[in-house]
Amino acid sequence: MTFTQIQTEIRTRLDEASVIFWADADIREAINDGYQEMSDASEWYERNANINLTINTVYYDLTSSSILTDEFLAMKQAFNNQENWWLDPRTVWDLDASYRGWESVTGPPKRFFMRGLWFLGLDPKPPATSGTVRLYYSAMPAALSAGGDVPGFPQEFHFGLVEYALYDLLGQEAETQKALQHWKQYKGYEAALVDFVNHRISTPRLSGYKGA
Amino acid sequence: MPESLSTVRVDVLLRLGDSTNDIWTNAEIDRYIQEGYDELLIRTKMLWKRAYSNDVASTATYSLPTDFIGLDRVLWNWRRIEPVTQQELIDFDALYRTTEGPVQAYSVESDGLLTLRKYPVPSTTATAGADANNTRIEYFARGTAVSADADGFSIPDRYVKYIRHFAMFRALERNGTGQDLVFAAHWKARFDEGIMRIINRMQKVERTRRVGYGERRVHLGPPPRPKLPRAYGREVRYP
Repeated sequence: MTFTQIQTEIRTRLDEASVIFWADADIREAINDGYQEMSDASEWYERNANINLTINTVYYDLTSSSILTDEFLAMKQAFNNQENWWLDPRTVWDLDASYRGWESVTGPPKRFFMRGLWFLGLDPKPPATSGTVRLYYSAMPAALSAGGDVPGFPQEFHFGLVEYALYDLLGQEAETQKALQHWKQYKGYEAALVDFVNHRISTPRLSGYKGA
Repeated sequence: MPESLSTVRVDVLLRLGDSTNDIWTNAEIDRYIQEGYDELLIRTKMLWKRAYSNDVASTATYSLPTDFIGLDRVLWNWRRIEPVTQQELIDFDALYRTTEGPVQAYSVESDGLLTLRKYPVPSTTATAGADANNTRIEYFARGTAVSADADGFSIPDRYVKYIRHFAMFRALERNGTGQDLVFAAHWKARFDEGIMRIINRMQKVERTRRVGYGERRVHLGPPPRPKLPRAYGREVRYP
């Protein structure tokens, strides 16, 4: 479904074919709020990008636009482009247990770890400002804006955006019971998308509405 | 457009159906937003920071940063140092309060809530902001307080949405006109779900980590449970 089609569906379900109570901007915002929510829950938007290595730098802030242009969510894998090897995921406690002075060691990165939610750490730290590491991560997609924009996940989950928008808009009208009914139906779509993303090899694509 | 206090407040009031402040004032919503911001960071510890606790010769205790929530790790001269209790220091060195030398351990007991004691006491003053022969702390932080309309948040915009959920919960929960306990419980559940989502996300790399040949896997849990005695391979249970 395109952005315009989703808006039309919502107006139909609200029994408001033209602008009477709900402005187009309200409906568009509700749809994008739902798009963000489904994307956050499922992490379907998988991306990869090279980051430049900096001399003697262990930590890289992945929310910085100078490092990654996407809105970073979670790290998956990392690849050293110069040495052609995959970096092993670690925790900082693994590194401390092996050698307490690991932060002073320089060399081509072999391991990566996360500190907090968005700081990437590399071990060993690069000995020069050259070379790149390719990161594989999940991110937030750009908001829908043009009428022809299509949500990036499969068609069968698009009605989740409709249900979310109805929940959001009816909640603003203090129609609590109706809003929570649509929330329940939205959660069904969200759960199905999460299931599809996490079990792509074994889950059939046409999961449709499952309810909650 | 990055989220600010005013954008979150407008968002909350829109969803409360009270854009004209007939029921909820801006000041009240701002308080809920600040409370949600603090609650989010305290429960998830997602805001990780590094700071230098620059060694000063013959000075044993140092103040921790004002935005400090909890310690993650402390290093001296690039190397991780261990936390110790005051009793351990007393047992090890009765003169721990004055013994000087390269820092090997630290304590956050008995010297005040936001005070760190280095042991031994640094004997030289370190170059400020350098790791060599100096102390660096890694800690979980509280975000900068938001009070002015244009004040931003120290976390990515995606997670600022969760603060909105908390503010909605508080606004709908409080007594008086506009109270809706059912909807308040729903927003609280959304906030809690967001917390769990963040915590799971932070643990993702940890769950996929691998330990190479010859490396020691750190045991992060409690010691193994004691086992019953065996008699010639058969388990014996005593009443």
